[in-house]
Amino acid sequence: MLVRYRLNSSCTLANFQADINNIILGNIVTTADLSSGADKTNSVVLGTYTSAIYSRVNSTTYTYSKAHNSIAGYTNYFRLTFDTTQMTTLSLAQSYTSGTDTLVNSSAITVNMKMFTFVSALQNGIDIIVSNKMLVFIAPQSGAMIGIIDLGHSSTTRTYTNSMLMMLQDFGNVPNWGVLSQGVYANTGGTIPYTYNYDTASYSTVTSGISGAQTLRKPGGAGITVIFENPLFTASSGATSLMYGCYRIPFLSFSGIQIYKDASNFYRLTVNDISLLVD
Amino acid sequence: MNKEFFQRLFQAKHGYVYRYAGTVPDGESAAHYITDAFATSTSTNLLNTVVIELTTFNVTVIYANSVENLNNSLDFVLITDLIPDVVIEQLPVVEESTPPTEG
Repeated sequence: MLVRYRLNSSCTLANFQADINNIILGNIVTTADLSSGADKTNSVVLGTYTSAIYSRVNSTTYTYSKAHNSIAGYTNYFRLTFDTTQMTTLSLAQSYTSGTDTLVNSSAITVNMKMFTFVSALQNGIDIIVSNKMLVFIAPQSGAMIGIIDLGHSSTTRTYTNSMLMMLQDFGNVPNWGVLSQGVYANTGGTIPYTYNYDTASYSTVTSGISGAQTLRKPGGAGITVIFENPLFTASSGATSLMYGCYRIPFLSFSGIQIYKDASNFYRLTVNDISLLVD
Repeated sequence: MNKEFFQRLFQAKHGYVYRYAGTVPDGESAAHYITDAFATSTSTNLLNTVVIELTTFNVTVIYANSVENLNNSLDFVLITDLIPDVVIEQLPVVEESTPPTEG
């Protein structure tokens, strides 16, 4: 599901927190379900929510569990933190202790996602994808384009089974951009908080980059352009892993952050030549 | 096990690394137990931490993503911060030139 969340000038932090929480938990079916701080006229809800993936595990902190979309037994945890005016960080953890509300083996990225009022001329707001494969916040006005993405298994994660199958990804990075180092592109938009690392012969935190085969646009008939979508992988000096629901699309197919429908009639959100599966 | 090793291990250039000097009770998950003990000793459950057992060195370490050293428990011995060392470049010495003598 994609919620194109737009705010009005009276939005309070409590409104903001409630809306984000309700979007994650699937309580927003139509824009009418958003709080009074939302600009309901200009907000949009697309696609459908997948149940039984997200649960809130603490009623005070904004801490949640997320089950992997396809590999049983892999549930990780994430936490949103706020200050008085904005959402400040997104943390992802391998595990969690409920008694002390403590994340175990976690990493955080700074978000600083602010509550900007919707302006028609700017069409600004926050796009939130909450699906069984990912939770993504795209807030360009705050400079925040971040998410939690499910990963596929690799030879490493099958052998060292405490390795996480989720990652934090900064979508401000673009595919295959950065310095080519040891066979992989060394951009560091990705972080896997806890996975096995052969470089240190131990579990560790691994930063990684987005990698995907270059793809093309081709004519599909009169007035029709076909956009090929190639799967994206997160690449570090170890094994690469599939990033579920993330695809590389041809260079500059879309300008800015836009939506389209794929051949299966599923919504996509595009950012930086990356297409994100919404449903 | 120097600073560069831990920077590579935790892929970070900020925060602090400690050696766990306590004992994990039988049957407990080391990661959960040590994380909880660290949260108790620093009086916050909002730090991002990672516990790693380095079997090669027979030591268990915990990394805390904090801007200062918050821990004062004897069970956690500070190994290093991960802040890069400041390298002060030496300016080249300019030798004074001697003016040519006349005559």
